[in-house]
Amino acid sequence: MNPYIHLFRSPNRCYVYDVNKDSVLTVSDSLYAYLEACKDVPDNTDSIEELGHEDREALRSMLEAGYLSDHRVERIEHFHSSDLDFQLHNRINEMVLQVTQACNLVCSYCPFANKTDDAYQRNHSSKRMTWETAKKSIDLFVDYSAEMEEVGIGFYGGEPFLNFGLIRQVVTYADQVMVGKKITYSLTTNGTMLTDEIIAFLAEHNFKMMVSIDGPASIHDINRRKADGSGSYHQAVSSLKKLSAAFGERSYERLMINTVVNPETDFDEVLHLFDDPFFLAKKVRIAVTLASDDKLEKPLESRDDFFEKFNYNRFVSMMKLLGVLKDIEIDPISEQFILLLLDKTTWDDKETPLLGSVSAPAGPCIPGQRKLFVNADGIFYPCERVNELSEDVQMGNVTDGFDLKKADRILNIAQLTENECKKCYAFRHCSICAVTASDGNGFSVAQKLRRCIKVKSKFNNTLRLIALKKEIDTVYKRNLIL
Amino acid sequence: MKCAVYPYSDVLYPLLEHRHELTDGISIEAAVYPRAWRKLLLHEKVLEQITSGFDFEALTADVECVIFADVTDREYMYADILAKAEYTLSAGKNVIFCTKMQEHDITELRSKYPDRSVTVKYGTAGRTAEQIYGHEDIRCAAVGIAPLYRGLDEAASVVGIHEAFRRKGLRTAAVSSNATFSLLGFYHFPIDIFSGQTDPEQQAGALNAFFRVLERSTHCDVMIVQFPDGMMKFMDEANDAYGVKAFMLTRAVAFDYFVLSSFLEIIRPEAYERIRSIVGKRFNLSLDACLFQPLTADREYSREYQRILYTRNRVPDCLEDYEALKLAMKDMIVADYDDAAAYERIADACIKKLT
Repeated sequence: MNPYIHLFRSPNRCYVYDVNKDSVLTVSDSLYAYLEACKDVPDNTDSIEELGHEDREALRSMLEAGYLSDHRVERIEHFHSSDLDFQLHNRINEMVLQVTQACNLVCSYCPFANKTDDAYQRNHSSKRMTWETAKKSIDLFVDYSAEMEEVGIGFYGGEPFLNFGLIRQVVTYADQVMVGKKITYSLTTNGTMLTDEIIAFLAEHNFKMMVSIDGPASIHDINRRKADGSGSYHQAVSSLKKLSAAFGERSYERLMINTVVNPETDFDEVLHLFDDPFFLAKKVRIAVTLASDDKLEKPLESRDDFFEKFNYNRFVSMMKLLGVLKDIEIDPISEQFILLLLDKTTWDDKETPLLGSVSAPAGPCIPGQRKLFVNADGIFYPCERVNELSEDVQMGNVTDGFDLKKADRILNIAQLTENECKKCYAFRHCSICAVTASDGNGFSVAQKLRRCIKVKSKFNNTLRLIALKKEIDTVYKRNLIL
Repeated sequence: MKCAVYPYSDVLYPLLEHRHELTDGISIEAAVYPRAWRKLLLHEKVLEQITSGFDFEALTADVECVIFADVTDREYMYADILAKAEYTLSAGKNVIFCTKMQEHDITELRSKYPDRSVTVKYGTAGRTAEQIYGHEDIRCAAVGIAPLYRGLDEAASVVGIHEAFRRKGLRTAAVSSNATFSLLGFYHFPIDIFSGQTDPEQQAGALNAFFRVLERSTHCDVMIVQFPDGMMKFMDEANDAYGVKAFMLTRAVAFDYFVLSSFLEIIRPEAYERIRSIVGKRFNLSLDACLFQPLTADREYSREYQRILYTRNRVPDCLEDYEALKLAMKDMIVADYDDAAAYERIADACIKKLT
């Protein structure tokens, strides 16, 4: 027996994650030890006799139910390789237009603003998308989204409002040629260029807006500053409040702030942002991401106490969830963690089809199908997070259409490390795609393998959450209270 | 009266096939579709016989009236339809709304263009308090046609089966869930009968009253009823939840013959044995025929949105299994949704079952 499993422990119990069944089971210490030995000695049948009666029965039940199978993927190929052509020519869900590469801010962690020759990304430039490119893009989108009743059109930069004229033209044109589809417009902005005219336009067309606000002025202005070194907090928050007023009852549904938390800052101070009555009133949604240094030359250096404070807040929120601490407010950042914990899809056991002989790790989406990013030059990318300089991720353009071979290579990024992927226990929960498997030169085996370590670490955290959920019911005997 | 129809989609192709046999002297001369729907038009032959395209102004220039087809389930088209109606009236033409419009918009259009005709066909069947109460069996034969899940359109099958019964000399009344087919003389459920405005306890009674009035006024031998929604609800985890509207309808009328509209995603004979059991136990229906549309499901999006989303993708991969299903299901008619011969077989089988 050489089961395709991953073993892990909590302080209370032993668990086995079965990759084929995508399911976590509790096992005894002795069965855990036996299964661990099986991984080292696949034909470890002799030691079955050493197991007690209960363990042997448990093992028999698991085998009968299809657990502990030694089945493994024989060849890496994504399920959608066979219908990629159809998907890209009929089922594009969203198109994101890079209306400009220029930005009026010079943020400290922005890979576009801090580029030197060796960096992994293009520089801010004054390049703007032309109307001709935008129109061609929308015309193709009409055709490529034929089967989608609901579609999205996003605007990206640089700072998109540096080319507001084009945004307005695109919306007017799309409203005209895409009649018959429900269109959702979306936009990410630093919030510093919103005039009353722009705000009225955004509200009229019911945009979904993401405004970047990294913390209170004392934090935000360190990272998100203008070319002259001055901060942008007051402009951004003032715009957000005006937007919220213009959107009225739709405010919470349509407006979101993205707080990029830089681990070089004081985490407690970041949280002071949410003391503002505007945020306390929950007029906008809050998304939080940790700043990434993947595309920066100089890695971000965490403050000594950053993760100590970060994890303490999570611990407190966990205590609230378990009902140990009752009268305590959870900060929005920890709330995200709690929501993840409560998300059924994170840990609920469900019927999952067994892995096929030909399969691919879960990471990549169908490149360009969920979101097709068109840069200012009219080049297609699988999304806006890729390195625009890498030819590996350039999957066509507005003149020639899709390059299906390139798209297929992006979809099958796991083929870069086929042998490693075929035996990886995080196969079903991998998040590696063209964005994360690239370095400055394009797709990179070394970069992908570095990313594998992070993916496995994240998956281990998920497994611990699953174990915790099981133990909340059975060991701690608590009800979750939010 | 020379008319254009907008927004045209494949659902309406049976209407174009009968474009010279419509009520009120209507003749459809042009079909205008939204540009974004063009790629989904599969019945191209019927379009070749008339003027068609997506240029609304050009294609409506030579007609006297524009028919706005039923897109009540697509609220995001409302503003476009209202704007195009206003344009049509301002160009000196008439409009017929087969889609649900706000009363104040109708009033405004009528007062703004008093010399033009603004006709509303959506859900105009009346009902009174007297009709709502009480419950009586429908005496004529009742044939039900329903989609397995919401979004499958069986209008072509309703028209075809209706025609097949008529060719056999029977008096028919057809009830369509798409009000545009009122142009073919079909009836449409009274407005708001399925909405929250009608007490659920009274819905079945109100529906029963609607059918009684229909039977009385048409003296029909057979009633062909298109269900307004799916028999089942698509969900990732509980995939056998059932359609409430279908349930209400089957409480109002005892259907003698039942035709299911299905698609190539569900293709195994065992699945139909299970569906037969479900429609029998929950809806008191027999599963007599199944008409298939050339669609599969986009499983990923369907799971994500918790509602079924269809695609033409993978249809060729299913055809072999589909042929096998036809052979396997001996006691049920299995055919394509637009197979005219199947409509005849269904009418014959229904008559045989009832005589």
